[in-house]
Amino acid sequence: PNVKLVTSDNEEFVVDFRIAKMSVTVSRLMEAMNMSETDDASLLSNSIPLPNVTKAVMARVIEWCEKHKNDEPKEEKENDKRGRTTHVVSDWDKEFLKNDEFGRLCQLMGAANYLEIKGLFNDISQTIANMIHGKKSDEIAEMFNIHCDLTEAEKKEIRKKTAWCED
Amino acid sequence: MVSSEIVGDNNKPAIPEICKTTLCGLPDLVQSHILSFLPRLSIINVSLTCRLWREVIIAFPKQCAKAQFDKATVKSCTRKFLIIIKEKGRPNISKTFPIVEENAYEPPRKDGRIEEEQKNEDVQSKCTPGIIQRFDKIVRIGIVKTLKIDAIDITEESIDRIVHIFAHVEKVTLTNMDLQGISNEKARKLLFGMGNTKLNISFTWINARLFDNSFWEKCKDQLCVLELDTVIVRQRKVNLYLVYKTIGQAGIPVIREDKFIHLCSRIPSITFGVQNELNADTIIRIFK
Repeated sequence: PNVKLVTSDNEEFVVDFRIAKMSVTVSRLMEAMNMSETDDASLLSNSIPLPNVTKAVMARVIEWCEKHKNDEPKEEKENDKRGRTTHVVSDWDKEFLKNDEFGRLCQLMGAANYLEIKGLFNDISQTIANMIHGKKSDEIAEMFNIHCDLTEAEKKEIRKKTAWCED
Repeated sequence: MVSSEIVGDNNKPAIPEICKTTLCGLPDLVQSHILSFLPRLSIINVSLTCRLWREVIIAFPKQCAKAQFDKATVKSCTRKFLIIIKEKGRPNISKTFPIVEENAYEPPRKDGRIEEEQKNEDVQSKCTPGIIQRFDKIVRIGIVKTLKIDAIDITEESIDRIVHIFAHVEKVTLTNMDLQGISNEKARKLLFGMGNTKLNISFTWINARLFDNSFWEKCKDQLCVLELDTVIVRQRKVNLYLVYKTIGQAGIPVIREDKFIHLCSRIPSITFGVQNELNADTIIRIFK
């Protein structure tokens, strides 16, 4: 069975039921609209509106879901003993996210958050964290096109607080 | 498997591929989630990037990853107090603090020694409140795996604070410490109070009473690895190297104490290095 998803720019995507269920948000909406896998009529007559996702981003989300729709559900892992989140991004996922311009990556992140697709959400989080790691603050600002609005006094204060651990 | 297909009006105006959304445009919780994946010290650089991220880091400290420090060494040498942080795969980060500001010196001696000699003399540095504050900063930013305290003039009060601050360390190493003036209870708190599963003591002056039954009971309950190397008890030097619940490293036990056999009987497993100086009789008695 297929499910119809409609993006913010009125693009309609017809996706496999299993793919639709990968999104917690979509799954909940389907339940609310009494759409079930065994009821073709309900699937045909309804479509799920996704006002926070554009066509371009939805296409990427679906591409990711297609690849992962047969994945075994991952066990929830607590943060490690030292408080750090750990997530391994597979080679396919690395390749999938590699060519995304950063703005699009953020959009994809926003969509993964809105649609509640945890695997994709974690993949992008780890990818962005890897981009940030090892860079100095001005490099991070430049990479993400962020205008630093901290005053020199605030920067000085932050540096003072962490002074002992700077090189 | 049914492939997904795009069904729509291709004549609609295209949405620009390059979107102006930046990371800062995402909800704070999403940003904090990303930060929780950040390794090591990057978090400090992120906090300097813009006010929003600074606020996100402050608002969601639990989500934000802390640095992972393999080792934090606190030591005094040549009239300085040193804090050295070792992060895996990165060079050491160290800060030096003159101990004179903390009145940690003895008054200059009038024994005719030249000033240069005095300058280079190793002096035990007091673990002052100022230094304790530095420890606080360390753990606010990073998680410490091993805490090494070297040649610090430690007090019972500072033990309480240190144990509180470094409650998460896995291994405690004490070197060149004088714990003779510290009560048994406090010394044991320093050795075991951080929940550490590994303990290494070397070239350290301790009170013989420390090694009473409760010490060994505590070892048995808590430690995976105990290394005692050159512990000095009331002027008698005891070279003792025990590795218990071994970690694949051979120990070299050299001890001239009759108690050694008794001590061995209290430890679940001991590894003797091939170069140990135990004679055959002793080893047989240990195994018995």
